[in-house]
Amino acid sequence: MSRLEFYLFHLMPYPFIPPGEEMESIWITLPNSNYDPKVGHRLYREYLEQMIAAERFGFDGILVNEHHQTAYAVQPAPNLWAAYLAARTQRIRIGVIGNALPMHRNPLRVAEEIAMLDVMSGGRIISGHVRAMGAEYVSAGSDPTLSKGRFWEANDLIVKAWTEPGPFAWHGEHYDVEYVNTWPRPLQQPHPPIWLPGSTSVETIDNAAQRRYPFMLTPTSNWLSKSAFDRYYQVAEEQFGYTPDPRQLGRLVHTHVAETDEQAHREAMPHIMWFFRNGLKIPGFHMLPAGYNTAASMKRTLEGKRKAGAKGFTELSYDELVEGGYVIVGSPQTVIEKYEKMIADFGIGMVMSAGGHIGSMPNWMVLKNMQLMAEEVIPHFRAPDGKPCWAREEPLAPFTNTEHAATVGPPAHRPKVRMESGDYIDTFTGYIQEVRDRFPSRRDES
Amino acid sequence: MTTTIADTAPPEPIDIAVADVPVALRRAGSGRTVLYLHGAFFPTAWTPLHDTLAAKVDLVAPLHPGYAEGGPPDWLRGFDDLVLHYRSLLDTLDLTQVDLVGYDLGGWIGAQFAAFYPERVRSFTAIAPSGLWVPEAPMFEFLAASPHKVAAAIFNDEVEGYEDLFPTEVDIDAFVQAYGENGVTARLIWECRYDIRLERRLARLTMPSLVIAPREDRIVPPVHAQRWVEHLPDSRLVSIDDVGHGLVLQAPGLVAEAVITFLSEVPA
Repeated sequence: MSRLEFYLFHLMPYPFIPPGEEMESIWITLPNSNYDPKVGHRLYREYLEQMIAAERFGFDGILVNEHHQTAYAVQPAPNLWAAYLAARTQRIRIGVIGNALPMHRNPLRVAEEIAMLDVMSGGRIISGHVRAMGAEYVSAGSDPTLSKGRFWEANDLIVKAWTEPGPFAWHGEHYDVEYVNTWPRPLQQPHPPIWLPGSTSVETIDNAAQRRYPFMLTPTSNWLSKSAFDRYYQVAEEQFGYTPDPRQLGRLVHTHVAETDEQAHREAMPHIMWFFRNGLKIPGFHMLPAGYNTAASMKRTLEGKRKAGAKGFTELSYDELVEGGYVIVGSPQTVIEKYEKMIADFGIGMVMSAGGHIGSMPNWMVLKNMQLMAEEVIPHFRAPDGKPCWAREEPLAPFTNTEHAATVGPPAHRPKVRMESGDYIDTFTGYIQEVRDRFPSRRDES
Repeated sequence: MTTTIADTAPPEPIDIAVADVPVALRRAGSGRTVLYLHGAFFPTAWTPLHDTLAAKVDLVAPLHPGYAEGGPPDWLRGFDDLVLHYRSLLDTLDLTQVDLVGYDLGGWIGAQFAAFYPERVRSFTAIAPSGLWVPEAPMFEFLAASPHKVAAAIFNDEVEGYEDLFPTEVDIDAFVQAYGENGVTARLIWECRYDIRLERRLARLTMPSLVIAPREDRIVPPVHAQRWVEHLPDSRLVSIDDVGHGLVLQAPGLVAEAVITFLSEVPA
């Protein structure tokens, strides 16, 4: 039986902008006078309600991510979204995919925020780590030429902060922190799952396979997807001696499902075209600015692209997007068949953007897509009970005080404070004189 | 080192080792030695300016580390690394003292070198130098800009004949070469396109100095050249009309004449 986990993915775009041909770039230089905060308020409200709805629809997780200074994705601070979603949901997994580690002067801020989210959400956080696109380095003015080194060092520092007792010292090439002692510690042990979202860069894939981090492939063709996932399996098996669990591999492929194939195309086409023609309108000098890659790596990228005959995203016709497998659109039966083929061809166990929002899609259509996906497609890839992954796991922290009292027990230390008399009192009972008299604390007790 | 704008064939590059750093340099002519430090733009070009200077002096024109290698070397983290590198280069070539000429970013690097090792610099010439902090007239951002806009800004829209200097992805090898060169520049100036300490340091450049700049410069606004002259203790400004920041290609004769005239006043 082929199984898939389903994640709702959201970019939270601001679609009310000029068409692609009239912009130099949707990134960095598109004037923010195009953004009307009142419209933005309505969009955020709708987008967040869509993500919250994913829990009752039965998706396995909801995913937010980080981009800056662009209408493509208006979510510069993804941990804020995760906090909001954690408060508005009960059990569903929440993925931040991811925080752009090298952009932080001190990456321990990410370790802290993810740990905060993990503790307050009851251990539901997935921590995606990304180097960030070239455009983000232009927006932030931070040096892209050192970003790969900063990324891996930041990743290792964060993992160590989550897993090793503090305080400890970190003296790296990029970060020098005398006292690493992150409060809180994450609830998930040894630490929240780390995902590496990426395009087809072999360096990302190889590192993910080596570290056994789930790899999430961003939108591309079936052909390039196959070569990326094959490489993950090959590197894992040949270089690191293990066979990956399919849930180590996820594909972000926007899927739109409707009553019939024809109806699905009718609904999705304009919004998919907005995404590829306008949302991805980004010139090379923004996407890969000087210093983001070495000349050698740039040469590999360009030659690979030429060899594959790959057109740029904005040049693809709707038919090419569908036939190339960049998107999946159709009736429930069509979508099920395409997912079955994806599982067979790629060996993946997770699919992102499976139902949900894309481009300029209106709220009602997104919810319709989600509901049909949940009721007509997802159960096909689930155990007979239809439960999402989180419904078959016990929560990591008790949901109620009664469960907490019954299962966790008292904390390691009672809170005590030394009074002027030299006596220590237990602050939970110390305000009751007769209790204090009955259980006097010794002066020398500490 | 492929780009050539000169009429005559450029001298073959010589590969030397400066400490453990491989350096490609070109050397031509005889007489007093002029060390020419290239800028961020067309770093590998052997230009008519080079030829004209080489007719009068011993011209030493090295590539900065990384520009021939497709990206910055690991050890290159700032201008001080280049200052030490050029000190070693002069030692390697057995040059006690040189006349230093720097164009654009090369003027910035040269000024840093001359501030730390003034005794190695007989005279200092900066051609359209970048590096000063002039917040009301900042340098044009070219590391993440359209190549067409960059070209137009460099040549004040007179781009004809210079298109090959701004390769697109159609010519992968040429594009990648330029991408790697810009990657080294990015390592040096991405996080700060000026050095707020440079202005104060210019007081240390007590050797005879010359600043040559186009009257209209859309990459480094003209007020920069005025500031350089104000802060260099023994300096004068030569302004060139009707050209842009690309003056070393657009008016090589006028630039060379200004340099040669200036050098003739500085005892060798």
